[in-house]
Amino acid sequence: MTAERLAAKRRYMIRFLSAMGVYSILIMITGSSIRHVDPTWGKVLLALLPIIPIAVALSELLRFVGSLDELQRRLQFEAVATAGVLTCMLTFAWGMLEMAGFPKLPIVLVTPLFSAAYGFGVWRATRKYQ
Amino acid sequence: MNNRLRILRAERNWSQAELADALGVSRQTVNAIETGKYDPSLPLAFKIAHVFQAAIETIFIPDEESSAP
Repeated sequence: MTAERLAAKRRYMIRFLSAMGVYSILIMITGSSIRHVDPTWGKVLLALLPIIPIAVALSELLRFVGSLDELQRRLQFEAVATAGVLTCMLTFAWGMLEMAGFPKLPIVLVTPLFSAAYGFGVWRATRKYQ
Repeated sequence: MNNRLRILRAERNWSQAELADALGVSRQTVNAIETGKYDPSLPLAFKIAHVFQAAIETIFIPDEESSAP
């Protein structure tokens, strides 16, 4: 790995993990205090606050992918495609099961589901090109 | 697509990491090309040819099926 690419990876890891750290803190603050906030607009602001570090983390991810070489970018593309297909299939299947009486799936779970599927996609694509 | 990357690299006593540095790609990418799991883009193939000072068609050899007219 070139020194330039190593520096890009280190920068990405620091910024991504920092953003996720801020996200974790904001999620805890939001979860514990949203019921005590009175005006609706206050609740809305508090609920949307954790989106800011998520946006920062995702923009860092995109910047990092841009610094990768062509095979690594293809690997990321295949991982995202795998995650998209799996998330669509699972959420659609669950939606159909809801009609059969299964409990409602909270929409907030779609992002963690996509992230887990993306992790699986990276593992699968990495194995393919090893 | 077959290639002679591993042979050319061995002739020069280069490690995969050294070749990767010369090409500006990761070692994993060099390994994937050498093992035939990944065919490089045309710009990267030309870069490889430039690094080895060889014609591109002497490094990359199409499969018999794909080279047939």
